[in-house]
Amino acid sequence: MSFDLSQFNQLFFEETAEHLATMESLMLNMDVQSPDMDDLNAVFRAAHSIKGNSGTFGFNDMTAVTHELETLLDLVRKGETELTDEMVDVTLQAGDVLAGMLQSHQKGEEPDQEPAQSVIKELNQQLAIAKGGEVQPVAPDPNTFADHLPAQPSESLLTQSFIVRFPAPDQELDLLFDSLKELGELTVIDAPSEHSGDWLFSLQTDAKKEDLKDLITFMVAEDSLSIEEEISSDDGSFGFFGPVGEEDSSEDELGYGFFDDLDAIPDETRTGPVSGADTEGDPGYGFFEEDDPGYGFFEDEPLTAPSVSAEASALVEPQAPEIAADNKDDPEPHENQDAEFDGYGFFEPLNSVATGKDTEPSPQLLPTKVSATPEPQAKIKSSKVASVKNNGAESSVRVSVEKVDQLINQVGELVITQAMLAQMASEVDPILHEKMANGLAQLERNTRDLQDSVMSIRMMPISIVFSRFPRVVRDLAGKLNKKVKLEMVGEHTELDRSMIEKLADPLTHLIRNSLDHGIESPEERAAAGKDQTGTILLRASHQGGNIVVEVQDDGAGLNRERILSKAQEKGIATSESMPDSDVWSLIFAPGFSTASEVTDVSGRGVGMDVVKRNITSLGGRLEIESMEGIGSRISIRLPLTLAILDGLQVALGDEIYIVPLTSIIGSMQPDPSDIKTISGEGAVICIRDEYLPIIRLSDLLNMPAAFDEYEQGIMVILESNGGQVGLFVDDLVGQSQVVIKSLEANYRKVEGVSGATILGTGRVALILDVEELISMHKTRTRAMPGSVLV
Amino acid sequence: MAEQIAENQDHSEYGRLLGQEYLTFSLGEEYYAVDILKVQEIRGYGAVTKIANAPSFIKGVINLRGVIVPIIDLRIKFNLGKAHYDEFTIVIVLNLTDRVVGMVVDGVSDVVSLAGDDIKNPPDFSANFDSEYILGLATVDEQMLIITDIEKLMSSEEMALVDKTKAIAE
Repeated sequence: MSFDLSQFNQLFFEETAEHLATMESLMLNMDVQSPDMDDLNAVFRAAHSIKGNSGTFGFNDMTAVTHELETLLDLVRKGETELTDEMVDVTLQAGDVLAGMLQSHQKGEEPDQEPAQSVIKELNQQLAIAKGGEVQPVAPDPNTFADHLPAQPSESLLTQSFIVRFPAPDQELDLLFDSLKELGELTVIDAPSEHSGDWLFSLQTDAKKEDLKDLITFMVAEDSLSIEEEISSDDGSFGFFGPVGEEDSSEDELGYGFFDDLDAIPDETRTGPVSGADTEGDPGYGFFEEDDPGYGFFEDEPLTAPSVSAEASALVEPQAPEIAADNKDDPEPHENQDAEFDGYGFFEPLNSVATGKDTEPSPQLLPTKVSATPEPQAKIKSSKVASVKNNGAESSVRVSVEKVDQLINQVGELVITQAMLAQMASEVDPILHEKMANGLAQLERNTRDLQDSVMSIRMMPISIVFSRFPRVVRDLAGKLNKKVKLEMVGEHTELDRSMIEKLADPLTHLIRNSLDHGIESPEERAAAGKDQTGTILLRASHQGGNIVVEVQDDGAGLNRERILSKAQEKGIATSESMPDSDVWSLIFAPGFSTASEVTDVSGRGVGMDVVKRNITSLGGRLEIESMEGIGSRISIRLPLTLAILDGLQVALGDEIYIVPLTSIIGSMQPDPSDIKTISGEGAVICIRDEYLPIIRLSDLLNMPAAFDEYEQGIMVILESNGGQVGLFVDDLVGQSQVVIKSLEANYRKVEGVSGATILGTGRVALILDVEELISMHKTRTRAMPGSVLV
Repeated sequence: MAEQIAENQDHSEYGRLLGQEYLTFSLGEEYYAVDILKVQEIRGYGAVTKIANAPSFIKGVINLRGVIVPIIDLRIKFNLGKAHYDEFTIVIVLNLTDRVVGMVVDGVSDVVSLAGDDIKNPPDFSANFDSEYILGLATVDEQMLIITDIEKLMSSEEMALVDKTKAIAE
């Protein structure tokens, strides 16, 4: 191979890891009794891709495992055998082995072959069972591939076709053919045994020639390989000409070409078979890319159109082969009709000829209908197939996070500029400058859309991390002889990609803990009158500007006495009168474990403090709730470190502050009679029979306010951590999306403020941190009586 | 003034060979100089957003082309001159190693080149701030210039620009 593939290795690693994850999650969700065909196919596809890629990149050990896996999956997929639990297990196992190999390769080490061998053995065993005790090795028999062809979806939209020729190598080629078949429709024209000793086949694919070459040169020496581009834009033509060889390919073009360029036909017909294969692909493409011939045909010839289209659709399936076969036998009518009917009448006589003749139909010819009938029906079908194909492939582009961040920043600037323009525009007469106002309104919409799209690049559903837990729970529960079912809620909650990655480890710890310490053994559970199967609930949700991820179990709950005695043992200061929440937080102390014995699951006491550290480093908090015998719940609260925030602008004196919309419950003009004071210091407001503490923003921030009297200003009701407060400000200014800028970059952290933003006026506004404001308020009110005493 | 500039041009010729260029500014009756390479730009004062619970010499933050930049009034900090703000109030925006900071001064006077020998060691006391932040003294046009280590000054704890914990960590 002329270039170094290793530069793409990283890509391979990432992709393969993704495929493995897909496989695993699908297999775990698989209903063994009635497996979903789509899922089975997806698993098969994943295995297949891994096989193809690992082969291309030269990781043959992985290819070997996936090959067996694929063979097994293929049987299941084709309904030749029933899916069994053992198969699911062995698939998962194979997935693990592959993941292990992948990791070794990634580190540049040679993976341990032993697990691979054993898993191959197991796969073979399953295969034997599946086949009823008979393991048939897949022979590199060309007929096998030809036989497979009719089963392939014939209507797939393929754009390019290649004629590939190379001398038969020593190795078995079934891997290669499998990979090629994945790329598109493969037709073996000539196998080495029959003619020249060369492999000759055609491939219809949307892959690039280079890709094809890479794939083949993995097995075959490059210099002996020849890949020629064919002009056909559709499959079928080669299946059809296949048995005869290449001679007729030029004729095939003619069929397509004549829509496009009539003059070219004679020339093309004259060209020899080989050069015909080399001819530029334009006629075929022109035809397919430009809808005009097909549509124009119906428009121009309204009278003939119905009949032709009816016939065209009548061509479908049974008759198509005959036509095609007829084409092959007798190219003459084409040209005649070209002249006579200007190409559009093409179908009519053809059909009559076709029905008149009784040629042996070949199933491989089916695709002809797509090429020969440029009517909308075929189009729709093709595009549908194309979209399905796209879904399956999940095409994606890998971009570095820095680039995305840069993009987000720039869009942020754009949003500010747009807001500035809007502000300026609001100062001019809207009637005189109507067009500008319209343009600006559109700009605002576009900016908003752009912003949303850009933000969504970084946002990912938390299911990416959740998806690994069914496996963790399944394996661990088996190991611990416990019955546990995992429920997941809110997997689609989106959060920043970087957070998702860092969330994986802490969550794994928590789930392991719940399983090991929380959920009791089935016997204990039965004795306690609980369902033998324990439940672990994993829930993600948005709560007031935070993401909350909870791990909840219905197990034994935390044991207060045990934690306290353990803490004393460890020399941690405790007291019997500590509130529960303080006791629970003891388990976050380093080296703390109440498990009576150390298992390989947990109990080493390195878990919870690491969890806490990880979460804190993300700017999050951990909360534990527990009830003995009922269960426990650990909540992780994470800030939304989004670059953009929906906020309410409130005015205080000359300044404007942003309150995150997510923490706002409502706002009101307070009625002085609703406001009461408590011991002359703190004030509360009565809202719907509830007394909420009042925070005067001006007092808290030491900033001048325009109004002192409650009835002059506005009370904004805020919620944070389940508590509600009333924030007293001068006025509400409006709601807007703001770009969060760091104050810390050039300044430092300001208490009660989470960041800053730039308003439409170009001024800076501070973004309030509601939670911090509340805790500031609490410490101040607490400090006040103290200062009186001193 | 014109002579001064002419003379300074001579100085800068000389400075290119030997010394360094300094931006001089006045605070009350005193003249200070900072390394010109630390100066990003000079701009007018305006549109400052006050920061909650900040010391009085931190006027707030401004939007400098999308970057949030804190503004310090050195006149208040060092109790020099009168702190009043109008269209002539000047902010020197400094680009320091890890941050951008704006400082309000009474006026920007000049750019001078000072050779190594022009700079004398400072005496062991300083009227308004710790001699720790003074690199030396120089005389230009019979005017004493206090050459300031602005980097050190701005990252000092007393400027309250840096988080205490951060300052310790660094």
